[in-house]
Amino acid sequence: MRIRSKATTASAIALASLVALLVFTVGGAGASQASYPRSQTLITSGTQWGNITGFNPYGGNYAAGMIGLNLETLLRYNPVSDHYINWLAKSATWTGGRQYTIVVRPGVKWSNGKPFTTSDVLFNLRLLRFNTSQWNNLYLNVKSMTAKQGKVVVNFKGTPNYVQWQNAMYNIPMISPDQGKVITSAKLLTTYNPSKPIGTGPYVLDRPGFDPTTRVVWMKRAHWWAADQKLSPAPKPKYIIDLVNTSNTNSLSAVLAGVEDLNNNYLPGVEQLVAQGKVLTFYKKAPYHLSANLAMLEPNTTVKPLNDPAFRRALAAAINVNQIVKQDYHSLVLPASPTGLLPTWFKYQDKAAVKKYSQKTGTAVAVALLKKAGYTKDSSGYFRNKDGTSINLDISVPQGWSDWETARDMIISSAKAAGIRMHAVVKDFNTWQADRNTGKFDLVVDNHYQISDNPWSYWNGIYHLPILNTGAGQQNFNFERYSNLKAWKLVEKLDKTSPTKTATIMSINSQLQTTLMKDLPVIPLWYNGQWAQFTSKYWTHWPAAGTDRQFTPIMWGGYLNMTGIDMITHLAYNRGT
Amino acid sequence: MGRYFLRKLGIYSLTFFVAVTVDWAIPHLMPGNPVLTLMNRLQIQDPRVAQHVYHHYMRAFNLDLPLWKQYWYFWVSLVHGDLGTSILQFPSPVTSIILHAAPYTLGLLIPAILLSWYFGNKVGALAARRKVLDNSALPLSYALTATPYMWLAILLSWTLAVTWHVFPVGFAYDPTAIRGLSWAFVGSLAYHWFLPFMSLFLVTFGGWAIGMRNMIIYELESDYAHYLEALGAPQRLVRKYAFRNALLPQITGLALVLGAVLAGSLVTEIVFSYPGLGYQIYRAITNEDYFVIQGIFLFIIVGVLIANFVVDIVYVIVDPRTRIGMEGGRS
Amino acid sequence: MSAVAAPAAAPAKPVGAVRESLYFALRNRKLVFGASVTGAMLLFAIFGPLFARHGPLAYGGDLSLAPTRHGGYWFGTTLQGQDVFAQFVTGLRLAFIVGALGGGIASAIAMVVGFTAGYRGGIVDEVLNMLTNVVLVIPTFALLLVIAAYLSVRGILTEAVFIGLTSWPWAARALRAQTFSLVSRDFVDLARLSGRSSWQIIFKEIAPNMSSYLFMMFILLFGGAILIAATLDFIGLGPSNTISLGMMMQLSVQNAALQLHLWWWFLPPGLALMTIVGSLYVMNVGLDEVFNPKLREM
Repeated sequence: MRIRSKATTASAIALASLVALLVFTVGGAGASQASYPRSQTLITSGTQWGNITGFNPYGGNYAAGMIGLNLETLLRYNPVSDHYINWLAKSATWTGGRQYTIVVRPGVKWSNGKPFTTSDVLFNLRLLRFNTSQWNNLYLNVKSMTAKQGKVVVNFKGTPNYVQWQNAMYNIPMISPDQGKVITSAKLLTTYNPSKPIGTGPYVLDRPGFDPTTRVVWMKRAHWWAADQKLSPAPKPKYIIDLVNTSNTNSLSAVLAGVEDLNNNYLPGVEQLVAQGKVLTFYKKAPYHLSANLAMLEPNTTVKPLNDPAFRRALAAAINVNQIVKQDYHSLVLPASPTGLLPTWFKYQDKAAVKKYSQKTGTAVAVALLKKAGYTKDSSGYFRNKDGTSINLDISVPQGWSDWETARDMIISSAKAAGIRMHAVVKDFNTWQADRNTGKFDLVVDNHYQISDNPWSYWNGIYHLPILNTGAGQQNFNFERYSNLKAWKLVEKLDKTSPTKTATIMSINSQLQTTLMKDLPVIPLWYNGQWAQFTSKYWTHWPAAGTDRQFTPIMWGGYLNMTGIDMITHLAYNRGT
Repeated sequence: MGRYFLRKLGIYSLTFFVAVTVDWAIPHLMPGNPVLTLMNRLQIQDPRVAQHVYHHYMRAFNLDLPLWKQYWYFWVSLVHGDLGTSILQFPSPVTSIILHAAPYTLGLLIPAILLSWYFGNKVGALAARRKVLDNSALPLSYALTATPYMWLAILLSWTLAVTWHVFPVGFAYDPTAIRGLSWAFVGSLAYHWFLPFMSLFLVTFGGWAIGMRNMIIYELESDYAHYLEALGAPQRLVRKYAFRNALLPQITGLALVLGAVLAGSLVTEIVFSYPGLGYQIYRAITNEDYFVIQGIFLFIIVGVLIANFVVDIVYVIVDPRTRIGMEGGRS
Repeated sequence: MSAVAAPAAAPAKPVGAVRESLYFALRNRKLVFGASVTGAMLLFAIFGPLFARHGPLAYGGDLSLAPTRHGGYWFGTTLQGQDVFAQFVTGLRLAFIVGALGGGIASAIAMVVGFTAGYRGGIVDEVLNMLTNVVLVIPTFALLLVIAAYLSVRGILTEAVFIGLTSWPWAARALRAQTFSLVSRDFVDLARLSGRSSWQIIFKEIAPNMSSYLFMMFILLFGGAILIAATLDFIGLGPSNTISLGMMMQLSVQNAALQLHLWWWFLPPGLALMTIVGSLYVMNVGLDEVFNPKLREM
């Protein structure tokens, strides 16, 4: 009996849910009211990996677009034309060997109506005093910061870190002291979490639309100082919705269907879709994307035979980068220059040095180099160490990064062709990273050192000393554990060289490039792109080569406050919809 | 009866304790350091600052305490309902991550399991009766139950979503939908929920249908069924008893299938980018987010134990034979 | 997974029983169909790799090629120019290996636990029951990640062992229930009276009576192991340095095969899995009918 009546109740419930299901499904498919107006909304994704934790630029996985759309910086930087844009600062310059003066722009209002003043700038610069701020080391060199007559003057103790300070000027976000005043300790800097951030930018948070697992919705403000003062067109999208990333390929589907307008993920096969006219990219043909950072092979220069520069040069010659670029990436990336400098830094490249020190590549070249360096083959046909022990290098990439896994496999087979025995070791990202940081590897493919306003960040990454052998190991640089004191001293000098001394700057750059090409502490492979795929279903006038819109089409952190915001302010409606 | 249930409770409590201990231990046995991942995202240039921040985070997560102390604090906070803070998504508390993701997964799991159980049993019972239905429903059910969850998800996604645009390719709801208790929003939710639900439903449905059909056939061939027929009892009566007996293993199956469907929902959530627990667990595992892994697993463990307990009770209520065997006696 | 049909064990077979079983076996359509399909796939797995013209992980083919006779790319190529046919047959082999190993280990554990719990009852049963529960609830994929993290290179063996160590609980429970019903039978009491040890009784009296049941249980565990391995591979926890059917599906999804309509990349692996596991299940039902005369449709 019990089963019967249970079955009847169950039937009723099941039937009811089925009906409800159909109603909702049909209703949902046709639902269009009570939603953000699609033709006035810009939908993006490709930046937010994982749940949005909040709106703190100093900690956690803060909402994509926050810095740039809501919070702004004193300066911005254009990597294509290589010049700084005065933004919240009317001007920001070195006014003396140890002094930097920021003239605060008048007429800027926070989104709560209050004016943006020098005390706001001072407040934010003083946040650097906490050791949880990534610019803390710069603060330690500051003697005084004062505000007077609409200017903020920073005096340094010794020679300022010119390069790092200048870089910070277009990266430090200006948060409102009304909210930020609760930050009174280093810990609070990382746990600070306003529910609705107050900023000077053109957009504010639409709190009801915020769903930490799914999306953040930014809503246009009625007034924005940059538009009011005619420094920038006013942005057209009334709403900007950025979606949390869950899958690259589903995002691709979304772009193809017009559900997303812009996607910043690496999407394999995109070149086919561009050829079919289904998506747009910055370039119409290869390499399709602007360059973002350098992918390189990092050898552990403390283990043999990788501690021998001649061996490293032979290894570099053996690798077939063109195969990786064409077959793995389908020409969505560019092969790297022998110096590893990103195209945006080519003005620092010493062409003569490149001509002199870059080497030919090819299996035969590699074999000849090895033999010349004194390596001999053993009975198995592979080269062995000079002391007679066999060579079997391990090479690893984070597991699941399929394009790198393919590249790794291609490197292994080209090395084998030249007689260098290599094998792949599979590690998940954390193990891979921990091993890389602590030197427990032979070779890794890595990418680091994002595009920035100065190649110093690249050199700092390569040559940084000291090398830490305890605790967490290397944190952000010199994973190859290359110890060249002369080069490091040059890097430090570069940081402390005033930007007016162009000859010194070029000379140091040239020396560092030469050292790199001769010694190959890292082997530059290819440039990863500023992955950007967009559709003109709702918005047109995207950044494109050969137009006056050569902006970075990227929403990643650090890019909106370069020229990403220009991309947004130049978008136009697609009148066809 | 009271003693029996007390015993059961005792056993499940013990299971809970052991399972929770193992749950705590597993993430800690993973090599590597999750704080390093966090550090890497911050891109700190100065090594002194880096060391500071590193130690700060280690302290924040108790990771610099000896293991036994971490274990003790784990139980203490568990009793207080505090599942800790996520390392990767700092400073989100684990409970908020679970609360945001659980409705999506439960929204997939519960209807999928219950509806497939209901319809599967119905169809299976019908197939046992009618040859025509048997010849069509049965091969289909075999095909369905043998289908890997992710493949069905891929098929449904490729045909209905990517190619024919009948359903969306993924995500929880339309990006432009405004959340609220409106028909439009609920509709958008359902529209995006449909394909993931179907892929779970169809595969599980197949299993129940086959199971039920086989059980009914078996029961119909058993001695008591023949006896009843010999006595002249109407087919309906015989079928009623057969159904009731056949249902028993299907009830046990409910608790067992939870594990399989959970794994299925993980891959389904991956294919459809559905922001449920499966996706969160996957990210937590690959990023060694200790507290999130523990929290979600705890959620799952408690759920599965409760389900087992409920099933045990239901089974005992429905089948007296088992009770005797369970108490170690000889019938 | 389908619920296991739990037939009562048939009484000890007379001499002609084997021949009788064979007679019915060959006439049971489900068994014949299931066995031949499984056999065919097994042959494909064993001999297929001999026909593959390229290594499964080798690059060099045209990119995203549709199935063609040219170059021996009968199943086409992947987005990176690898031979899908070669990957397919390699994965097929691995599937069978994982199934046999994983299923075998799980069966062995299920037998030990199920028999002991069913035969002994009481406290032993409670303890084993608790063990079963614990293994049942432990999230299996986290466990594999720990193991995988300790190994720099993951092999098919580890995957199979792991699956075997975690998929036995339902089978142990079913065996336990079966053992309960047999334990009270006369022949067991007789054996006990004659002074046989518990293990001897279990393996010489009880198990043979369940042999058909044990065989069917193995088949289910075999099929289950294949599916679990494919799921783990799909998540990314598969064996390194090789390719499996689950990994093919994972790579195809990651490489936009759905959006680029490279159907030859993701359809064959899933189809193969469905075919193998499905035919195993069908075979199982057929066997059930053969061994249990009451179910026969003649």
